[in-house]
Amino acid sequence: MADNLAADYSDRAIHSEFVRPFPIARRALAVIAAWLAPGAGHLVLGRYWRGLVFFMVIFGSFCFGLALHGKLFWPEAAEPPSFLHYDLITVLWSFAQVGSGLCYLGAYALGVGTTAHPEATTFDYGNTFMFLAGLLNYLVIHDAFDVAQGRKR
Amino acid sequence: MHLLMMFFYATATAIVFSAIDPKPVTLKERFIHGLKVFGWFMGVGLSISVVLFPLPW
Repeated sequence: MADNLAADYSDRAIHSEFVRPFPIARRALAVIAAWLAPGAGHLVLGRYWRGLVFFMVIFGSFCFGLALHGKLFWPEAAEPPSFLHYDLITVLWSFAQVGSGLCYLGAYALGVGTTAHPEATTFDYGNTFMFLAGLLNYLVIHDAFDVAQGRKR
Repeated sequence: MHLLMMFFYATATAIVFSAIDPKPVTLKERFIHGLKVFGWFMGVGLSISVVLFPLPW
């Protein structure tokens, strides 16, 4: 499987003269910036257009989710109490949303989306788009790390 | 409504997936790759909805 995958991508392999890992401080800065603001990691690494596209898509998804009455989740105590203490689904939901970094923290600080509106017909759609924003940003953080390591252009 | 949301979801996902995939090099290749991802999302979503529609629960 791994051999086939490598063969499939062999024509796209980056030649060694192009592989230039960034300094460790810039790598760390890129990953932290990528989490805080979607696309900022790519801006730090000089991939301006890609960073701008990621910012527009992820920030747009998050704002769209908020506009559709999505809620910011945080792990809640299980009801009735269980050995896990926390309600597992709220742990997963909050993990997905926290991936969007300052979008999540900023909305929380501003008090936007902190109360649930299950009566709204778009409530579930809103939540889904906010999960999407966070989960896509995890992929973008990973991509920024790969670029910083010199594995990708 | 649901179809419209699925369209937005597939669009956002296709854009990010086509941008992070290392295989396409040129902009044209990335665009085609994004269209394929979008098509797969919509196609699989619609197929699942057709399969699940007659189920009574």
